[in-house]
Amino acid sequence: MSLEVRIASRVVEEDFPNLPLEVQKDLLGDPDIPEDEGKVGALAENPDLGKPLQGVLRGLRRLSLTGRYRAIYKTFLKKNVVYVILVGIRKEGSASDAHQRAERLLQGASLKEILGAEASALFEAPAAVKKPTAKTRKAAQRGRPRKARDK
Amino acid sequence: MVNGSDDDMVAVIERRALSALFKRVRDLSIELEAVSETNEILSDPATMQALARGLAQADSDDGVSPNALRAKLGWPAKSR
Repeated sequence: MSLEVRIASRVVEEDFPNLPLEVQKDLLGDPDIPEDEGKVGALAENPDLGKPLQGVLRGLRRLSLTGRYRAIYKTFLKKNVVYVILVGIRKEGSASDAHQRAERLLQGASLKEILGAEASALFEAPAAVKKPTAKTRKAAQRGRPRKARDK
Repeated sequence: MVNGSDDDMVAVIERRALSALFKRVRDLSIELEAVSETNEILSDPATMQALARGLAQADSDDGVSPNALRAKLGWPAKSR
Protein backbone atom coordinates (compact mmCIF):
# COMPACT_ATOMS: atom_id res chain seq x y z
CA MET A 1 0.00 0.00 0.00
CA SER A 2 1.47 3.33 -0.97
CA LEU A 3 1.26 6.47 1.14
CA GLU A 4 0.39 9.99 0.11
CA VAL A 5 3.28 12.43 0.00
CA ARG A 6 2.59 16.00 1.09
CA ILE A 7 5.10 18.83 1.03
CA ALA A 8 4.99 21.54 3.71
CA SER A 9 4.03 24.98 2.38
CA ARG A 10 7.22 26.39 3.83
CA VAL A 11 9.26 23.99 1.67
CA VAL A 12 7.39 25.21 -1.43
CA GLU A 13 7.79 28.88 -0.54
CA GLU A 14 11.21 29.00 1.13
CA ASP A 15 13.28 25.95 0.20
CA PHE A 16 12.24 25.11 -3.34
CA PRO A 17 13.11 28.43 -5.02
CA ASN A 18 16.70 28.05 -3.75
CA LEU A 19 17.20 24.48 -4.93
CA PRO A 20 19.26 23.71 -8.04
CA LEU A 21 17.23 22.20 -10.88
CA GLU A 22 18.99 18.85 -10.43
CA VAL A 23 17.80 18.63 -6.83
CA GLN A 24 14.24 19.62 -7.81
CA LYS A 25 14.30 16.87 -10.44
CA ASP A 26 15.73 14.38 -7.95
CA LEU A 27 12.87 15.08 -5.56
CA LEU A 28 9.94 15.42 -7.99
CA GLY A 29 11.21 13.36 -10.92
CA ASP A 30 12.52 14.61 -14.25
CA PRO A 31 9.68 16.43 -16.05
CA ASP A 32 10.94 15.02 -19.36
CA ILE A 33 10.73 11.42 -18.16
CA PRO A 34 7.07 10.59 -17.44
CA GLU A 35 7.83 7.41 -15.48
CA ASP A 36 10.38 9.16 -13.21
CA GLU A 37 8.45 10.04 -10.06
CA GLY A 38 11.56 11.08 -8.17
CA LYS A 39 12.26 10.53 -4.50
CA VAL A 40 8.69 11.51 -3.60
CA GLY A 41 7.52 8.50 -5.60
CA ALA A 42 10.01 6.27 -3.83
CA LEU A 43 8.93 7.67 -0.44
CA ALA A 44 5.30 6.93 -1.20
CA GLU A 45 6.24 3.30 -1.73
CA ASN A 46 8.70 3.05 1.13
CA PRO A 47 8.46 5.66 3.91
CA ASP A 48 11.43 4.05 5.67
CA LEU A 49 13.71 4.93 2.77
CA GLY A 50 15.38 7.76 4.68
CA LYS A 51 17.61 7.23 7.66
CA PRO A 52 16.16 7.95 11.11
CA LEU A 53 17.40 10.93 13.10
CA GLN A 54 18.18 10.58 16.79
CA GLY A 55 17.50 12.17 20.17
CA VAL A 56 15.03 15.07 20.16
CA LEU A 57 14.65 14.60 16.39
CA ARG A 58 13.55 10.99 16.81
CA GLY A 59 10.56 10.28 14.60
CA LEU A 60 12.00 12.29 11.73
CA ARG A 61 13.95 10.81 8.86
CA ARG A 62 16.31 12.30 6.37
CA LEU A 63 16.73 11.35 2.78
CA SER A 64 19.84 12.13 0.76
CA LEU A 65 19.30 13.99 -2.48
CA THR A 66 21.68 14.85 -5.29
CA GLY A 67 24.88 16.52 -4.12
CA ARG A 68 24.88 17.49 -0.48
CA TYR A 69 21.15 18.14 -0.31
CA ARG A 70 18.72 16.34 1.96
CA ALA A 71 15.02 16.18 2.68
CA ILE A 72 13.70 15.77 6.21
CA TYR A 73 10.31 14.19 6.58
CA LYS A 74 7.92 12.58 9.01
CA THR A 75 5.58 9.71 8.41
CA PHE A 76 2.04 9.85 9.82
CA LEU A 77 0.98 6.25 9.50
CA LYS A 78 -2.52 6.86 10.89
CA LYS A 79 -3.13 9.49 8.22
CA ASN A 80 -1.26 7.46 5.61
CA VAL A 81 0.86 10.50 4.84
CA VAL A 82 4.57 11.22 4.40
CA TYR A 83 5.09 14.91 5.14
CA VAL A 84 8.23 16.60 3.77
CA ILE A 85 9.23 19.25 6.30
CA LEU A 86 12.51 20.62 5.01
CA VAL A 87 14.73 20.40 1.94
CA GLY A 88 18.18 21.96 2.07
CA ILE A 89 21.89 21.60 1.77
CA ARG A 90 24.10 20.16 4.45
CA LYS A 91 26.51 22.74 5.72
CA GLU A 92 29.14 20.57 7.32
CA GLY A 93 31.06 17.63 5.96
CA SER A 94 28.65 14.89 5.11
CA ALA A 95 28.76 11.92 7.43
CA SER A 96 28.12 9.79 4.38
CA ASP A 97 31.61 10.86 3.35
CA ALA A 98 32.80 9.08 6.45
CA HIS A 99 30.70 6.10 5.47
CA GLN A 100 32.17 6.02 1.97
CA ARG A 101 35.63 6.35 3.44
CA ALA A 102 35.04 3.42 5.76
CA GLU A 103 33.92 1.36 2.78
CA ARG A 104 37.00 2.33 0.77
CA LEU A 105 39.14 1.41 3.75
CA LEU A 106 37.52 -2.00 3.86
CA GLN A 107 38.22 -2.36 0.15
CA GLY A 108 41.92 -1.98 0.82
CA ALA A 109 42.59 1.71 0.16
CA SER A 110 45.15 3.26 2.47
CA LEU A 111 44.25 6.02 4.94
CA LYS A 112 46.55 8.38 3.09
CA GLU A 113 44.72 7.75 -0.20
CA ILE A 114 41.33 8.21 1.43
CA LEU A 115 42.03 11.35 3.42
CA GLY A 116 44.25 12.96 0.76
CA ALA A 117 45.25 16.57 1.30
CA GLU A 118 42.75 16.90 4.15
CA ALA A 119 45.08 15.12 6.52
CA SER A 120 48.42 15.33 4.74
CA ALA A 121 50.02 16.70 7.89
CA LEU A 122 49.29 13.41 9.59
CA PHE A 123 51.54 11.64 7.16
CA GLU A 124 54.41 14.10 6.95
CA ALA A 125 57.66 12.97 8.54
CA PRO A 126 58.21 14.83 11.80
CA ALA A 127 60.92 17.47 11.74
CA ALA A 128 64.28 16.11 12.88
CA VAL A 129 64.91 16.86 16.52
CA LYS A 130 68.51 17.33 17.57
CA LYS A 131 69.55 15.43 20.63
CA PRO A 132 70.67 17.80 23.35
CA THR A 133 74.37 17.70 24.06
CA ALA A 134 75.97 18.37 27.43
CA LYS A 135 76.88 21.90 26.24
CA THR A 136 73.37 22.80 25.03
CA ARG A 137 71.86 21.40 28.23
CA LYS A 138 74.13 23.59 30.34
CA ALA A 139 73.28 26.61 28.19
CA ALA A 140 69.57 25.92 28.62
CA GLN A 141 69.98 25.64 32.36
CA ARG A 142 71.65 29.06 32.41
CA GLY A 143 68.63 30.41 30.60
CA ARG A 144 70.26 31.63 27.43
CA PRO A 145 71.02 29.96 24.13
CA ARG A 146 74.55 28.80 23.40
CA LYS A 147 74.86 30.97 20.26
CA ALA A 148 74.10 34.15 22.17
CA ARG A 149 76.58 33.19 24.86
CA ASP A 150 79.34 32.54 22.28
CA LYS A 151 79.04 35.99 20.67
CA MET B 1 36.89 -29.83 8.38
CA VAL B 2 37.23 -33.30 6.99
CA ASN B 3 39.98 -32.83 4.42
CA GLY B 4 41.31 -29.40 5.37
CA SER B 5 44.48 -28.63 7.23
CA ASP B 6 44.70 -26.55 10.39
CA ASP B 7 45.78 -23.63 8.22
CA ASP B 8 42.56 -23.92 6.17
CA MET B 9 40.52 -23.90 9.36
CA VAL B 10 42.37 -20.84 10.68
CA ALA B 11 41.77 -19.08 7.35
CA VAL B 12 38.03 -19.81 7.54
CA ILE B 13 37.81 -18.56 11.12
CA GLU B 14 39.77 -15.43 10.21
CA ARG B 15 37.47 -14.72 7.28
CA ARG B 16 34.39 -15.09 9.47
CA ALA B 17 35.85 -12.89 12.20
CA LEU B 18 36.81 -10.25 9.64
CA SER B 19 33.40 -10.40 8.05
CA ALA B 20 31.72 -9.90 11.46
CA LEU B 21 34.10 -7.06 12.21
CA PHE B 22 33.36 -5.34 8.88
CA LYS B 23 29.63 -5.66 9.52
CA ARG B 24 30.07 -4.08 12.95
CA VAL B 25 32.13 -1.24 11.49
CA ARG B 26 29.45 -0.66 8.88
CA ASP B 27 26.66 -0.65 11.50
CA LEU B 28 28.64 1.75 13.67
CA SER B 29 29.30 4.06 10.76
CA ILE B 30 25.55 4.17 9.99
CA GLU B 31 24.81 4.95 13.66
CA LEU B 32 27.52 7.58 13.67
CA GLU B 33 26.05 9.11 10.55
CA ALA B 34 22.62 9.44 12.19
CA VAL B 35 24.08 10.99 15.34
CA SER B 36 26.28 13.32 13.32
CA GLU B 37 23.42 14.48 11.14
CA THR B 38 21.19 15.01 14.18
CA ASN B 39 23.92 17.04 15.89
CA GLU B 40 24.46 19.09 12.77
CA ILE B 41 20.77 19.99 12.59
CA LEU B 42 20.56 20.74 16.31
CA SER B 43 23.56 23.05 16.13
CA ASP B 44 22.17 25.08 13.24
CA PRO B 45 19.53 27.54 14.55
CA ALA B 46 18.22 28.39 11.04
CA THR B 47 17.62 24.73 10.21
CA MET B 48 16.02 24.11 13.60
CA GLN B 49 13.71 27.08 13.11
CA ALA B 50 12.71 25.85 9.65
CA LEU B 51 12.15 22.39 11.05
CA ALA B 52 9.99 23.70 13.88
CA ARG B 53 7.87 25.71 11.44
CA GLY B 54 7.56 22.72 9.12
CA LEU B 55 6.47 20.49 11.99
CA ALA B 56 3.92 23.08 13.14
CA GLN B 57 2.54 23.16 9.59
CA ALA B 58 2.26 19.38 9.61
CA ASP B 59 -0.29 19.77 12.43
CA SER B 60 -2.22 22.64 10.94
CA ASP B 61 -2.15 22.28 7.17
CA ASP B 62 -2.13 19.43 4.72
CA GLY B 63 0.74 20.82 2.70
CA VAL B 64 1.02 20.63 -1.05
CA SER B 65 0.91 17.56 -3.24
CA PRO B 66 3.90 16.80 -5.48
CA ASN B 67 1.70 17.41 -8.54
CA ALA B 68 0.62 20.80 -7.24
CA LEU B 69 4.28 21.69 -6.82
CA ARG B 70 5.05 20.38 -10.32
CA ALA B 71 2.24 22.53 -11.69
CA LYS B 72 3.68 25.55 -9.87
CA LEU B 73 6.99 24.87 -11.61
CA GLY B 74 5.25 24.42 -14.96
CA TRP B 75 6.10 20.72 -15.05
CA PRO B 76 3.70 18.04 -16.27
CA ALA B 77 1.75 16.01 -13.69
CA LYS B 78 2.74 12.45 -12.87
CA SER B 79 0.81 9.53 -11.49
CA ARG B 80 2.11 10.33 -8.01
